[in-house]
Amino acid sequence: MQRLNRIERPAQHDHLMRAERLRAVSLVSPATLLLTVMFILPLLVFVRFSFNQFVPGEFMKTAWTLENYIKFLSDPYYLRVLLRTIVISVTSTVLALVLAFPVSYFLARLRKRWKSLLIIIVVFPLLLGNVIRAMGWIAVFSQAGLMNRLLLSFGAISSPLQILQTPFAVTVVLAAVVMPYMILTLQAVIEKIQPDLEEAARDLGASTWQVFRLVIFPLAMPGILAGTLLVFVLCMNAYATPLLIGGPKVLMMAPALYSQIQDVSNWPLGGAMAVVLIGVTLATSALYSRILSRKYIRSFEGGTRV
Amino acid sequence: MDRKVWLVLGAVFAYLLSFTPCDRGASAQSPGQGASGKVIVGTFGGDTVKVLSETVDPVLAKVAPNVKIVYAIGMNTERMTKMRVEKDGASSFDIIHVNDRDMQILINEGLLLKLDEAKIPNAKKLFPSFRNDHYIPYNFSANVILYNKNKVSPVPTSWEVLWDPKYKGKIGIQTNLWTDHMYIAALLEGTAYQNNWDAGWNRMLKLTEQELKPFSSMETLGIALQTGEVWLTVTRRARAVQWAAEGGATLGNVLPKEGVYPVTFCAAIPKNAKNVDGAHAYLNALLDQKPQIGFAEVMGYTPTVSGIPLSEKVQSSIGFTDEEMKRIKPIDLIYVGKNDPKWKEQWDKKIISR
Amino acid sequence: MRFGLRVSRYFSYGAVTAILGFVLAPVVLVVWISFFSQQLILFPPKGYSLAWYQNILNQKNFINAFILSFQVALAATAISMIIGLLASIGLTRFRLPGKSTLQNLFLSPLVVPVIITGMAMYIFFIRLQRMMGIELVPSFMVLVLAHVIITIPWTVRLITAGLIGINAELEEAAMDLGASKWRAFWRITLPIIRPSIVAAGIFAFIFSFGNLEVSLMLVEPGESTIPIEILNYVFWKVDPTIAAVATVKIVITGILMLIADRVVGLSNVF
Repeated sequence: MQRLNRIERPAQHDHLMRAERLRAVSLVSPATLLLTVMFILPLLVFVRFSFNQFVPGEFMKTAWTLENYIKFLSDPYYLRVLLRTIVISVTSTVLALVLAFPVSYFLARLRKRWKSLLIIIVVFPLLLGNVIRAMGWIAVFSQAGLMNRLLLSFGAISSPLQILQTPFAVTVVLAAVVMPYMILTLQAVIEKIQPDLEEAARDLGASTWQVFRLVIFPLAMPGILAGTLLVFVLCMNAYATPLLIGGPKVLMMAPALYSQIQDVSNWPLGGAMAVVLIGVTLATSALYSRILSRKYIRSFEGGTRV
Repeated sequence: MDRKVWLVLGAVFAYLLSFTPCDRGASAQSPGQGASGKVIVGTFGGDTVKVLSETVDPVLAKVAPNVKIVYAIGMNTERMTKMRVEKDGASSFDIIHVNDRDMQILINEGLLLKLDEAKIPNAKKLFPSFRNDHYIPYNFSANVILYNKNKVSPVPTSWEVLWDPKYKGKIGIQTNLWTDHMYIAALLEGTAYQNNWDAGWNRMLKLTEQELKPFSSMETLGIALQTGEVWLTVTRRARAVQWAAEGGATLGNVLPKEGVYPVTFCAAIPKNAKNVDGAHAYLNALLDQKPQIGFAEVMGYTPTVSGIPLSEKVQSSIGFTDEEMKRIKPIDLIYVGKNDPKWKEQWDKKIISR
Repeated sequence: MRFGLRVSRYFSYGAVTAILGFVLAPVVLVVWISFFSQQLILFPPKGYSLAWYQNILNQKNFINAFILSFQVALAATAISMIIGLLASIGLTRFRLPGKSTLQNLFLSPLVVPVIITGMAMYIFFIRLQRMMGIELVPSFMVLVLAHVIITIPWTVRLITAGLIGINAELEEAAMDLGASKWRAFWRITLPIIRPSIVAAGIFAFIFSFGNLEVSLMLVEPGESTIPIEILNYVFWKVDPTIAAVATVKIVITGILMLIADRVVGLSNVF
């Protein structure tokens, strides 16, 4: 049966286009409907709360006020929390990217048998759950923890180091927490890069660094973009890790807004902070996406390389 | 390879099909006249629900055999949220467990049922300061100074010890105890019972000169005390005794001469609860001897009703002497509720983030 | 040049081990702690014991919670994979207006703080319940749907990534040979992207299994999931029991992943 040449039959073409569009819509509609009804709508209810008035000792009065947003945006304390969240998220993301790359490359080039095992191992930390994982890190870094105990017993230090409750600790642990996601995302992309390309480059005299910079890095860019975006969003919303590792001295947005809701029942302020957090996260991600895709990638859709 | 995938998919599907949501639908509650049917109790997990199910259930079974207790465990926040969200319909709880401060807030919001004294005869035995119309305090503790016996000398007698420069850098602070610390400062200022805790704020600021060590989890504070990283902290006697018993540094606790307020754990009935009779029966059972002793022995919280025979060992460790009881005076929860958010903000900004 | 390569190879072995060790440190510690004999978590441990594992057997709540977590995760993963697959096909194969809006919609659950998601869903359903007069929450179905929502970003993202890399000409070739569009998809494309589908399933399962805040509000009274039980436990005390629970959790899930490996070969997955 000969397939119709679409250009030769314009009327049929329109009909096909409509049928195709219908098919497309029906394919995406379950997910779209579910998300719109069960996620976006409920969220809007909560956004509405952010315009209510908080009454200490009582709860919430229905109102249309901007006082919660004003309170947040005009207070240097809260703005510092927001800034800190962004800075730590960016740093952790970059750190995770840098550290994940060697592991991803290694994993990508590994033989099948070991690869499965290593992938399971990389995923293990995710299975612990954020709370227990953070407690594991506390057992490593606290003053009575493993690291201090080892350093003390080797005489490297005379009194325990204060590692926890510092921005450094939060950044490092956050990077460790998100790294499995980064490793697996990068690995998938690097795997698709033909090893022949690297060999060819080397044969032409490129050093390892040049191979990386000129061959691997550019070709892995879609994965880098996807991985860093995902990890950045996870970091911005991180709760258990900054709460337990950073404590009150390194307050980040998610713990701060949870605290408003949990500790003082200030849903309006908590809601306003959530809106600000979501807005900033989206804006930063969109900006980042645009800059990177313009610089490195022609288009995301397509890519018909087998 | 394809076949294996189909087998797995088929197995998963069959499993899912065998598992019908009907099994899990919200079971209908048998209409209860008198105390019968389901009583859904929203409470804390861990040891709390363990003690409750082991001590309250048998007591209730004896007097109201048709009542079935279902424990819905969660944190305070979930219960408070559900109470507020559900207020226009039927509540998903028949009993909720929250602390006294949150109880007052719920009363302010009009979410609690006024209790029918006739259905809770045991309430007559409550100590006078614990009696009220809307909730039943079923055990309590109080803040004490927990100190390292080997490092802190002489034995502290006053809250002032927290400001003693001798212990700079050795004072641990639980970050969620802002109310408790504001109270102490106001108490030392003499204005705690005149509803003016703001007068103690300067004293609180002075406390930061002690290079406080904040702890957001009790576990890490416990370990810090036991390893000697910190020597002093403010905590409930129940917790203090528990930490002291866990080994490590020798820890003692003292209730300072200026006094303290009781921290009570309470249970109440939502205004729109479904099984009001069953709920009242549950509250009565809470004040029975078995649960009261159970909480004291397992969790270190003291009975709120008189006439509970605690063993010598338990009484001497977690109990309060008559003399100490004279120094435990309740605070105005309405005043506290109104000012708590403000104090928390000050605390976060100026005290524990330094 | 050879020497340089060898050095860089050792360097990479060393770097990989160090980095992996760093990422896995909490896992090692949690498993180690689960065997400590004393309640207090201090180093070096005074001794080792299996007491905490026995403790789990005494606590029926952990076992029941594990079963519920598992059931919810399995159901949510299955549904999420199916509608994620459909959505991914719709996104990558067709020209749709507002494609990027849809893409953002599908990723949105990740951008919202999870506690807000949990509370918002609960509030929404209670209001819906009042309006419609039927009981909606708490229920298993709503809990599963909520978990589907939070896992959709993963399934859509991973399956889309797999579909993008597919050469559309393969399908067209099959159709030229007489296959229908559906058959071409089923026989050619689906097997090629099966690894992405399995990857989506694994990530969705892990995410659902570990979620706390959504389950908190939507479980029925008397039931809970593993993250809820863990949270409620550590609120009162922290002892090696919780480390034992965590170890059991990762061992069981690890075994499941090994089985998945046997079936599809995880090396193909990512």
